[in-house]
Amino acid sequence: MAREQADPVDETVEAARLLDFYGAMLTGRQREFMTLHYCEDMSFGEIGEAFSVSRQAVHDAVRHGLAAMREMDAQLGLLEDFSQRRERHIQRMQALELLREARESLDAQEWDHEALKRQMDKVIMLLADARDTDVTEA
Amino acid sequence: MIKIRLTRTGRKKHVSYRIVVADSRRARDGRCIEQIGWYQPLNDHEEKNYKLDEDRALYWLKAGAAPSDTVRSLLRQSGLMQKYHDLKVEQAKARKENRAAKTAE
Repeated sequence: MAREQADPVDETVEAARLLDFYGAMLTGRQREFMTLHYCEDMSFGEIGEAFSVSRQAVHDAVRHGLAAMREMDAQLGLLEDFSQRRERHIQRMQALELLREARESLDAQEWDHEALKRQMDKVIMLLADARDTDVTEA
Repeated sequence: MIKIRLTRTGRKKHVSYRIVVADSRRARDGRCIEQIGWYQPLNDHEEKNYKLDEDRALYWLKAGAAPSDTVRSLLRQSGLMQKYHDLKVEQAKARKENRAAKTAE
């Protein structure tokens, strides 16, 4: 199956992100095993050894935990929501940076009318883009 | 056993990792032997989202450190696994030639 052939790095990052959002909803054991596997990069075998359980038991707990978190995310969509908000935040930060630069060029009296105009256009574009995503969501 | 693995850093909801060399039994107390790079998967606005000290990574691989699956995948992306493989092939070839020369004597 495609899921099982996914890059281990992608799976680790996805699981670590899911844990941030839905980790509290898991059972203690699932959470502990998943944290060690996805945040400390320990293998199933290593975790099994540390807790005196079989490698298979760790695998099952992690698999069930991951499935449960994916199911929760399919229902609630917190991850996607957060990613979009983060994207908008980055756009606004970029706009802010451009405004600061423009302000500094005015101070240094090296401003070029055309360049400043282009800079303002970029700011407007970034902010409008961020606003449009807000509006479509609301 | 010495392992090259990732260890999570960064605040909640902002996943990032360090690439570290550590004793496999020390994973839970967070002690590591050396940090050889970092990986910031969410940093998609930069050109490169990971940094790796290739010389040190190669040194540890040669010393017998085992990379975890995730680190192995990162090393593959950076081309270091290929480099390590070529190095091993070269060494094996040199050994073979050495042995052949010795038996010919």
